[in-house]
Amino acid sequence: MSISYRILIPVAIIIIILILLGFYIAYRGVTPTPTVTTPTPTPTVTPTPTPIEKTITIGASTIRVPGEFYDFIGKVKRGELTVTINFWTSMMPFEVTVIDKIVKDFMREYPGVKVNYRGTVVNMKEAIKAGIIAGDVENTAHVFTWAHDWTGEMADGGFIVSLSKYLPRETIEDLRKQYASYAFSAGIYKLELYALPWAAESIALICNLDALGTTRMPTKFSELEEIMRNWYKPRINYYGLAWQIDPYHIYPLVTAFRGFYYDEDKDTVGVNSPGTIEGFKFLLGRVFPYMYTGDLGHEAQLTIFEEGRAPCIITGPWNIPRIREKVKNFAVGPIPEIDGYTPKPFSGVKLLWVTKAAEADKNRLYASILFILWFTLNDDAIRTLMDEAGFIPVKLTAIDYLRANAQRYPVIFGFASSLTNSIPMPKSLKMAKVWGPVSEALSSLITTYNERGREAALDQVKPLLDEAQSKILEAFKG
Amino acid sequence: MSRERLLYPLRVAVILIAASIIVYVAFSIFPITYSIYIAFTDANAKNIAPGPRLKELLESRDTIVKTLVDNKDIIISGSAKAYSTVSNIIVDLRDLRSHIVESTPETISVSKITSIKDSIDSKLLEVKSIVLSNETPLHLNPRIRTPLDRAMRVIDYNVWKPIESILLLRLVFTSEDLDMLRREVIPSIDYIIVSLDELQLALKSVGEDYDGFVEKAVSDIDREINELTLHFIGLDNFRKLFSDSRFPYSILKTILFTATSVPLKVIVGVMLAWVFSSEAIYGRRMLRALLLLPWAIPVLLSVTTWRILFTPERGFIPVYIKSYFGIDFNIYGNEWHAFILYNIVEMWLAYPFVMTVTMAAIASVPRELVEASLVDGASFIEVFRRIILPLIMRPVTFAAILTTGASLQVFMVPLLINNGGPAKTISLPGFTPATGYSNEMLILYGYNRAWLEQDYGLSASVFLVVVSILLVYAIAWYYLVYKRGPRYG
Repeated sequence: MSISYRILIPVAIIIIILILLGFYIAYRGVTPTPTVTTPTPTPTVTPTPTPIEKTITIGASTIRVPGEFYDFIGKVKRGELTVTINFWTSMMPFEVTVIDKIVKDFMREYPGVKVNYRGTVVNMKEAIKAGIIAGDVENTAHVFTWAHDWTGEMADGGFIVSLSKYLPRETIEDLRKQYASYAFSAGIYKLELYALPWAAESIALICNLDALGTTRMPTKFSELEEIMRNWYKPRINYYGLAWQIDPYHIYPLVTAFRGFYYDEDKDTVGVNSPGTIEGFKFLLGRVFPYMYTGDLGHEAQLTIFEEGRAPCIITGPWNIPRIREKVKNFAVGPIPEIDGYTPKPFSGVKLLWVTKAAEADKNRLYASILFILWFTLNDDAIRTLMDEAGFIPVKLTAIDYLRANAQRYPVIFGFASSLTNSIPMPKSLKMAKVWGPVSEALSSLITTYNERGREAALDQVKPLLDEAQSKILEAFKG
Repeated sequence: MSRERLLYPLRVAVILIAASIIVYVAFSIFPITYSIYIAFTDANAKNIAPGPRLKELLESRDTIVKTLVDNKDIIISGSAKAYSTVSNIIVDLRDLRSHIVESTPETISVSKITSIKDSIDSKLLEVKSIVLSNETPLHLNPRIRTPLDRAMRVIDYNVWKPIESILLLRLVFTSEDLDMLRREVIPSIDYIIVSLDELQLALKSVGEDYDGFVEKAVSDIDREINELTLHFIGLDNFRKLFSDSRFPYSILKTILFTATSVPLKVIVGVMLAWVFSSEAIYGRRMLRALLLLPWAIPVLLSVTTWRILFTPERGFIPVYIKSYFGIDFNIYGNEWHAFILYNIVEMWLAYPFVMTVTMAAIASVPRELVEASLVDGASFIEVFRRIILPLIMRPVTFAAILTTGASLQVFMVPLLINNGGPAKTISLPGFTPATGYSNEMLILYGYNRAWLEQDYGLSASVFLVVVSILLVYAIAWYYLVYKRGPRYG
């Protein structure tokens, strides 16, 4: 037998076996056999939490709590009980330093709770999911933080604990009064409270005041347009505006024309709604002519602003440390209104969640809940977050403090003003299916704009958004 | 005991064989089989690795049904209580509406708004606790849960947020604020009232048609279980794949890339090997070692460096090209500029391999043969063409075959340079035009379906097609090299 048959026959047999095995497993997948291991199942019906007996005070907030939880707090405060929890974040180094400081303050106040803090967890969401699926309750995060748009996915999969199961109505009522309504609401999904908020962020207009020659920020688009027109000199690489272009960053233009991508309340997709089309056309027709469109990515646009080649940039607070290094005299304000309508950027509320990994051990669960209560309610901690990392507070007493000290916190106040106009990102997992098609349509428009000019790109807006809408609806059907 | 059994004990053999079978199944058979299986399913972010929720639902479904049946009277009475509280919320909302509509900046009352807000919030929380309660789990019915959830979210985001923003940051209402409230808050209040009306209808229907309520609640649980379960869908993923014009375009682009990058890699690798095999070059050993550096540098670092060098406007190469040739070289905006860079980077990453193989082959060419042809008057190039090249053709062909496989599987280069961009409308005869990334090579296409669209089933089907293409390629080369030509060794 020649060498070819000696090799090909076993290879063919292995492939056939693999395919048959694949089909066998696939057919088994049609009717999954649940593994019923627990004789007393965990009901999805919310258990009635322990009744209210006591109150606790954190910062300037007094909260009614169940007696059992109150006793737990007393024990860990006195160090009579020791519990260890894992707290994970995926943040930039300067933020990690501040969070670490706050974690240490917490442990000083509650010596019975040891918090293992990991600041820069790579691929955090998947790491948490994998840990919970594997049942690794010791090494997985018990508490973690991210923007609120993860809530739907994590709650639908059962990876996070519903606080409504453990906190009675009175506690939730008291908590609700502590935070801005939109921030508290960000932690609610399908009526249940899953998380507590500690900061929020949205993009805003940032201008180099030395470049503008005035301290007055443009409040109307016509004013900004005049500045852009005066600055636009592409021959010497000077531009009217720096702006990272992607579906998230251009959303203010969409909302200024009453458009939207996905309405969570009505469960409707509006990618080809008249407002969205108008918003895209406005971007191509009235903003792009003053921008460097060869590279609309984050790095290129930020560099243009940092190097003083554009007077203003539209970006978020995460770029402030870099901007501060290069631009000494800048101001932050809301994105200017367009024809009397306010552009509304997306906002993200930073939440603290307790994971399922904490639920198995009641002490660990209570320690996790105590940690998120303390982190989000302690005014000193919030002030440290404002002072040292520029986080925008959502606790009402901290917002009062910010208003009273607006001169001391011009940047945070500027972002807070932009935040008042913002629309919270949808929490539903469906939103994940919206970004891709919108991003492809936008990228295609940019290519057309660069290759064939503005008019050709404007003609393409409706067909491309129609196509994106169909793709999203198709993806929703599954 | 015989000598054979002493030297080769059966127990040891069995242990070794069993261990190797286990390792083979765990690291090879199972992952391959699972990947093939995924290609025939509707795998997505929710069902590919369902979290604890699925287990909870499967385990508690019967308990929930029993609770709903046993607690009929309590649930009906709870729904009546919730109904009445919702009526009071609607009254409060109408009060708030008329206050905003009728007030002027002078007469608008912050304390009145605050008191209405507290009243509405407290009542909504009361309704929520009834609906979520263990005894009256009305939230299990989506016709109750959805309008209540919607009303609560809209009131927080669209009513309280604008009001709080004014009160928290400015303390007083101006006439502009009032205009804004009338323009944006009033429609939201109307919308909430509509949602609450819908909720009331659903609450009322609990008492009127209790069996219908239970049926709807149970079917919602079943729907959720279904969503979290992986399903076999036969060839649907492949149908979807071949009806999407982006996929055949991706195949064509990958073949084109292979056709351009492989000759480039081979030519540059062979040329460098030839030049640096010459004894006329002083310090050639060190230079050779330096030329192998691309092998030693991590791909992530080297591709990122190439991207920085070619970044429009900032990278020195596009700046140079623009100033000397007047060409605006833009890897983010021009499909073919990006394609050229992919070829350059792929060549840079792979030439050390071709060079190493070729240098070894050149070293085996008899020196006397080269010297004799030079004495006979052949030029340096003629010696290469007529003497060296024919003698090294086999190993070079072998290197080309291997590097072709690498080009067919190109992934990191387009991903790190511009994620396969720029986007454009992709049209192919027989396919509906679709917007997609113009340089999305095959592997990247599969990766983006998994990563961007979270369609893992479709992604797995892409990879199955890629494996098939590579298998055809491997078999073709096997026949060309082993069957047609003389054998090695």
